[in-house]
Amino acid sequence: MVVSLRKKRARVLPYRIVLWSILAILIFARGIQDHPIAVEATLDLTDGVELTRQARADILVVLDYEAIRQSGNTFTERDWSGAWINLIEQEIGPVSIATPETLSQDDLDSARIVILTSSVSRDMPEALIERARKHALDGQTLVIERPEGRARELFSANGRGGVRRGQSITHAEGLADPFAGELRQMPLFTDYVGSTSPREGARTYLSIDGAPVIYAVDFGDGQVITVDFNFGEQLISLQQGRPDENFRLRTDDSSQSQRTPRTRDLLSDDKLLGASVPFADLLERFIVYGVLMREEPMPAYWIYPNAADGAVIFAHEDSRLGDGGAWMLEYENERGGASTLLTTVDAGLTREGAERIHRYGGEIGLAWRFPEPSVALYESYGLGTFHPLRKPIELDHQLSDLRRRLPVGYVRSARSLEGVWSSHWSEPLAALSEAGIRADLSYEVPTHRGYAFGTGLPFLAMSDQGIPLGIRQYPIVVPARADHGPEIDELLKKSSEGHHQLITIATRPSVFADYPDMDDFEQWLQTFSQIEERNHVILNVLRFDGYQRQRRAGAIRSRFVTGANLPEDARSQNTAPNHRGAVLRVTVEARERGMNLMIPQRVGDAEFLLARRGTSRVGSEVVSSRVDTEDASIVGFPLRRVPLEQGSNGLEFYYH
Amino acid sequence: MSRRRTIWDHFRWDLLALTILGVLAFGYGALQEPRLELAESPRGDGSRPPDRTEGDILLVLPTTPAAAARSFDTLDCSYSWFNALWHQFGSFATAPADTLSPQLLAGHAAVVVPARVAAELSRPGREVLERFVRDGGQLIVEMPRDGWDHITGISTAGELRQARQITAVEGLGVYGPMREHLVDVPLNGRLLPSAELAPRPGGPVVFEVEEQPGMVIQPLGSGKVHSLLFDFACSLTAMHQGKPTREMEFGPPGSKDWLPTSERVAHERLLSAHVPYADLLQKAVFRQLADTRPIPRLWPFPGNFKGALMTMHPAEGSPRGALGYADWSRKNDASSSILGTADRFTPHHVALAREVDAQLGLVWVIGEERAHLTDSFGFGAIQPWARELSLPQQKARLEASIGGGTPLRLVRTEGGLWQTDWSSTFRTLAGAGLRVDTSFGPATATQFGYLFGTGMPYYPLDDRGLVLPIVEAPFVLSGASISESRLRRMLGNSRSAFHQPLLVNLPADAMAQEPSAGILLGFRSLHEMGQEFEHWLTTISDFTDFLGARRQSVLTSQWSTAEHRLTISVNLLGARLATAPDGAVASVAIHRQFQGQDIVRIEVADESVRIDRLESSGSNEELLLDLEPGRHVISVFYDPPSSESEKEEP
Repeated sequence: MVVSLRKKRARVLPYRIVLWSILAILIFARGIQDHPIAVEATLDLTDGVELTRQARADILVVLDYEAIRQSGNTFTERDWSGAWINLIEQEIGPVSIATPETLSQDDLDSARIVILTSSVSRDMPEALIERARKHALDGQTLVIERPEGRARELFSANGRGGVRRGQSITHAEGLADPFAGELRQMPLFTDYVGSTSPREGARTYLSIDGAPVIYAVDFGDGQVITVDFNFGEQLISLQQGRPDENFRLRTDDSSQSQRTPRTRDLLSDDKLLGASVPFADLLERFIVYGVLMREEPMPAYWIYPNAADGAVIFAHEDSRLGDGGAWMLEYENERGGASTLLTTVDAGLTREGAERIHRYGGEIGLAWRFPEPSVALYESYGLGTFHPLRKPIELDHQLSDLRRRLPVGYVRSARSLEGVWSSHWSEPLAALSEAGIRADLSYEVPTHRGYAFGTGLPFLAMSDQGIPLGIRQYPIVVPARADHGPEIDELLKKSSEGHHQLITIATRPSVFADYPDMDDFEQWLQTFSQIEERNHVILNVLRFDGYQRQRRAGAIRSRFVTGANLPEDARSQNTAPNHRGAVLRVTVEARERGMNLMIPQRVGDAEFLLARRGTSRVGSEVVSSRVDTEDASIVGFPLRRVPLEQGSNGLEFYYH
Repeated sequence: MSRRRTIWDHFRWDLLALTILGVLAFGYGALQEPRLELAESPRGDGSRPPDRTEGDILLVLPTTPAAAARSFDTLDCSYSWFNALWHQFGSFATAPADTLSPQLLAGHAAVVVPARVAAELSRPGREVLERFVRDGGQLIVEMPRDGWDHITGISTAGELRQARQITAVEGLGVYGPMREHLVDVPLNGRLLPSAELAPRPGGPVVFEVEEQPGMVIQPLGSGKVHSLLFDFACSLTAMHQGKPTREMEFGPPGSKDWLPTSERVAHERLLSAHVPYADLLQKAVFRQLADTRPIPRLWPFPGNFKGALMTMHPAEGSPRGALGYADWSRKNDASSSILGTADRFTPHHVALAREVDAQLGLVWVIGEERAHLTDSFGFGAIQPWARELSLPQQKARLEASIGGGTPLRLVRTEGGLWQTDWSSTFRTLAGAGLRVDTSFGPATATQFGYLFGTGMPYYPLDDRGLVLPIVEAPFVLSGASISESRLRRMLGNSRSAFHQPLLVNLPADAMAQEPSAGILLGFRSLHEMGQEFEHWLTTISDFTDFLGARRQSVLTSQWSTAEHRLTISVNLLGARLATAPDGAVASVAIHRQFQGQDIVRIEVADESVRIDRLESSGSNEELLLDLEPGRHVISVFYDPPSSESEKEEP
């Protein structure tokens, strides 16, 4: 009997197991449906773009991408020669870019200044050295960065002092105060090459720790300028931020918790918190206007449209108001400006709202919900209605979702919501670039106003391989919730007085949603008067980027001739008796209205006399007309500025 | 022989366990979404306000309440005259029709007979009125039909029509905003037929409605009879409380139970009205009384203010935004009203509201745009039921947070939503002891202005036409409809012509729901503009308190034709208010001219007053005499007509 009962129980047992298993599965399925398992998202990254370009430009930058890739795997070992591209594009406009393989004799012949970056100069083939030497001998200017071997012997000081870590800048020739004092305050992140003795006849422009690091020597009819410090590392550290040697962000280790990395963690030095001086730009401008232009007088495009002293971008980040997020843009439009709304895909922006924003010149960019739990937007997936897994919505999907709502088929600007970043230095930039974004506004230190990243101007971002990423970073100068650092008016004042900056002001349209602080609103309104007073122009990212593209795609060719006959109206007692002087002949293309050209006020001992435009031929005579120029200056270096007509312009600038 | 075991025998414990699990799952589900029991709030009823015997104007009211109206056409609108006289004069007398007697009429300059009283008045009553007029009194009679012909001098026999619009205003004898805008006033109700008559001054017609006489003034003995052949009071009622689209119901059939108040407006034009049409119509009717003799009145604002400007900030969620706005008011030496919900407005917020000098009110949560306010109940930690808090409970809860034992008076419904019937929401609010509602006004960015014909608070009528013990204070701008230009225009018009209290509704979440720079730009300069346009910066509670004191004040006057002298006896009551610490006292407004002749002298208690130092109304029609509270006798001397002056000369 007992056996029989056991047998029966044994027969029922499988059914019982099935019953309870089904129940357990149902409960589990329900639980997992309510709380899907998170799957990590991966970012599609670009490798970067090996830029080469034959532009109609006075300057040629030569870099070796292969050498850059193989320069080392750590941040300090990496060669950052790509930073020279940003320098010339930002300050001059058009630039030719070549690699040792693509460098032609034509490129060399047509360039008034050739820059051999460290990627090239550290291991230069003999043939290239010879071509460079000939270039200088023929009267052009050669810039060479940290040369080694025979190139050093030929062009630079001996370098026997070895490589040292720079502590501070001690001298900047020709740079007036307060800019000289400011430059001395710049934190250094660079090695320099010491020499036991200076090169004979060298003119020292910049010294670090007392050692000359930029100096020029006459070489035949031309000159050679040696840059004996790691310009790329200094620039990249200041602008793009300084990770650890493995390109990991240096998050605050004092708290043991795993903190979400943010762009604030990219900051290279706490001294930059609340900086009212854009150190990176100051250095770049010293090199261009204080060194290159003094050695080789040349023209450059003025950096802002309509000869404005600077520019302001209002970037509005919104993740909750949707169409309502445009209210600040509407007002900015009334004040003659155009601004950018960076909105998340879940904020609620509609097609109608987007059309309205575009009608009054606003730009819509993406506030990217980075695949990090604090800001990510998830979508669940599975089979049919059973969705046990969830994954952050990828950047591509966020962009295509946003694009669907826009009256234009592109999104050019983005910002990682709340400045959330990956633990890897350049990964988010590489992902944005891969997705077709051209301007990123993620960099900010939320607590401080100022140039925490050494600049307010956009800079060309680099991959951890040292290759340009094809995306520009627009660091936020005035974060939405900053309590520290210089006030906006101080930044505008410093900008108009010489730093000529782009000041990107981040605001959150939702800032008044929870607590409408009318004093803050008052301050916001006041900003417009200050901007106007300081002759800054309000642009959106797209418009600013477009203008800079036109600058880069433009053409500037110049020739400096000494001993030329001065035109009648330039002659005076001072030019008597032979009325000869120097002339800078410029052919320049203005690709849009409102562009201006600048030239040095002084060339050696000669002062600017006048400018003439045009080469229209009347009969057998070439007729030109006098052009009005105006005073300008950048970081204290005096310049003349002349407005350009749209299209091709022929100009002559006379000096005596 | 053993019983054959069934499936039940094998699995009974399993099934029992499954059942228990099922019950637990159900219980868990019930806890997640407790069962909601909706609350019924008690409703108040309309009543007759207490009668007053003193005042230049006597309003004769129906003796008994009417039956509940089934359609708007059957509504008794008599008490709209009460609102109109309150707005225009402040001090006036009321009496039931069955008390009409020569003694009652003695001492009054004019008598107003609403349509229902006119229809029901007995012959002796009419005779008393006739004698009053023949002896020099003025009578305003609405919709006079059978038995009135010999008093009004016009025949109104024939078929009734519908009044929709004023079609001609030649007889009005004025120019400016009234002449320009009176033709746009939307009318409602019936229109009595009449023979064609000429406009004044050649004939008796003041204005025409539907191209026939609408208001006619005929002399009778020494007095005048002002006949309104259209439903003046119902036109006002429709503008104030809305025009039902169905039988005392609003909205299309199948509408939701609650609709925005802007769905009630009487005419599409009112959705963006810079003109307070109801007040304009009142003024057009009452100003005719001053053709016979000057009629002084209590100015609807204290001192020399030309209007009032108030702000309120309802907070249906977090009150932080409301506190921010109120703080700005405080910084501009003004106060505002914050209306909070019973659940979100905590004692902490009360303390903050006090710091920013805000006055407090209640947002009645109805569960339409946000979750119901509930109390959950059950056993121990298991609370599967939730009971909605009734309006009195919500009020009591907020009062408890506020402390101090002062009952709340100010209220607004959640989202400005209103039940679709005629008066049940008003009755519920009144039933909870609330005294001022601020739910009526624009609901979208494109709506603005006097949607309900006025900026003045008014008493709503219930379906029997009786006055409910609550006032509706409509707002003129709200949220995204606020803009600097609209505000400036409304304040400018108010100072120069309409003299309105302007209530601006800026919800705490306005910058989250419909953000615009205009909201903040408008609010930023609101107080400055209010001062620039000579408006009293006050709160809605203080303003209604002031109107209460004004109503309690008594003003009577006597006119001496021979001396061209107006003697005014006034007993002014003031209200000591947070926004008027020295007391808010209504000025006495006196017509600057009578029959084209200026005032030559004003004496207060035999002391001469410098006329050139007196402020005047925006249209310059009246002089404002700012007096201390208490009794005063004012003598106003008008220049006699030139023919009389010449006669006096030797």
